[in-house]
Amino acid sequence: MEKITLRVFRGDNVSGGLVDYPVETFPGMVVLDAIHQIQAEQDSTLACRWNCKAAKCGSCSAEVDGKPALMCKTRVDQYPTGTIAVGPMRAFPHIKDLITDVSWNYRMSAKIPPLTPRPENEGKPFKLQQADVDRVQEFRKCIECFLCQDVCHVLREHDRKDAFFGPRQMVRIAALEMHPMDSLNRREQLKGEAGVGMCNITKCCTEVCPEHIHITDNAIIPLKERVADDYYDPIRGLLTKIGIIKRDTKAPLSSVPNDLTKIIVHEPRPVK
Amino acid sequence: MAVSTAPRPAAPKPLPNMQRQDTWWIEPVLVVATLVLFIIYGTYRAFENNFYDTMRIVEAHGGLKNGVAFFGTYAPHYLSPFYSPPIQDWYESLFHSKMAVSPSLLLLAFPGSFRATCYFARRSYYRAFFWDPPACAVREIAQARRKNYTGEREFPFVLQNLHRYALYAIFVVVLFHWMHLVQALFFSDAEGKSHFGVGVGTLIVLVDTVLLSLYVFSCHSFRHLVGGVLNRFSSNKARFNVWMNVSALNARHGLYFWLSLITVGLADVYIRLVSTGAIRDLHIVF
Repeated sequence: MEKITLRVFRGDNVSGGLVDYPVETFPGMVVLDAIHQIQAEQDSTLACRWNCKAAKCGSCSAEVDGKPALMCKTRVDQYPTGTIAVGPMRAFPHIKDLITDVSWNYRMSAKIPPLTPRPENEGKPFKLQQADVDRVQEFRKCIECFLCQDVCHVLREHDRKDAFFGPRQMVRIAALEMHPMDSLNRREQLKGEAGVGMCNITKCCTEVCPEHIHITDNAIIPLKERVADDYYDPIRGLLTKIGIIKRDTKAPLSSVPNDLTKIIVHEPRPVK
Repeated sequence: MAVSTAPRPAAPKPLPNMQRQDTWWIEPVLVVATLVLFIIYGTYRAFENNFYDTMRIVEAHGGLKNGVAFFGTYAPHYLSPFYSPPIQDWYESLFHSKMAVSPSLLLLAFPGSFRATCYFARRSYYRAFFWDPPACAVREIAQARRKNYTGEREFPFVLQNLHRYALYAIFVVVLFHWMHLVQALFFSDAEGKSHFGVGVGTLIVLVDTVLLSLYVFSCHSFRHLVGGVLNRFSSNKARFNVWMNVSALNARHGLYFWLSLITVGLADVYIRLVSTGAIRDLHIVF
């Protein structure tokens, strides 16, 4: 058995620092195993969020050697120096040790109207071919680990949470906007409060996604193109006006009944 | 008035700056080096305004008969991609004089705007030149800009939304590349007769043309145009099939970006070397 040093951030949102813990490794050990070993043998007060330990629940998001990653999917033998730094996600308010407050993501999610079938299809089973759903099925793989939100420099470095919903919500909007049965035109929201224009395609979200969703290529860029169709393409606008291109028959979001978007989201509890 | 004596809560302490330990800086360094080298060479070639068309060299010397010895028995028909389409020839046939500015300076606007607004290129140069961010999860230097950041919402970056127009223009460039490839399959003898053949230059132009085509037809805007805009693929199987094929190409769009950039430069270097007589084009003429 080899010994490594796990350098873990300990503290709350007021004070804290990195603390070194010696950890004995075993074949196939992941960072979350090492954290559990510290909790069991050295310090039971070390706080970390986890659940499935199978890269499916998205709970154990953290930053390993400065890079956003799921602790349960990051093997310790990837780091040959023998010292691994583990810290909380930087893009969100810190609570304790490795835990951050990710509730902002749910508040943004609540601003996106859910799937809204046309009134004539309401309550009927959808008749869809595989080709129609293949594209949006990729987006349904999202486990909401929020690593993409954490690595996005618009949120992380520029703190523009007021102007951009983030890559996770772009994936959610893409799943709805491209859904064959959805009847809402989501481009106004995309250009406006969702802020797809804030993204500058640096593809970091795609790089860190543990589900390997092609967030930039398959969600954000197609959404940018759809926004360009409506707002930045005068020739297309003209062709639509004279009837050469078929006019979009989707309903604007403003036509959605108010109760559809009224989703109760609990405010986060104040941190002591 | 009563004044609260309760201690003020301490300001939240910033998290320790845990920098990435890997060699994240290699990619931005390579991107800067490659693009700067390409821009310097392209600018030099645009202002040089010479040695871009092997047939022009032959004409300038009064034909093969009068001795452009370095071409050998047959002169190749190679035109540099930096000077394609041949607007210099068109201008001369219309106005019987040379253009006031180098045609390359005008022509570079087409591939230049396509590459500058390309989604993959944006990823690369925002990282390498703007450090926005330099690499994933690496701290940006210009922290003072934190709240001023507007992404691609405001001028000049809002113009990136016009990528599709640059795509329409590059279609013309690709078409001319294929025409020049056909031209490169013919070699002139001293009498001015054309003979079918294949030279090293032909193969270089072929590779350049194929890679440029792959780069253009794997474009994200093209993918949207051919079928990405649809929500119900089953209603238009033809467009769905095209979209599937473009999507397969699109997965390697970045690779094609770099390869086509390098081969377009190499094609020009080769044609310049042949035109100046620095090297002789090896060819088989049938």
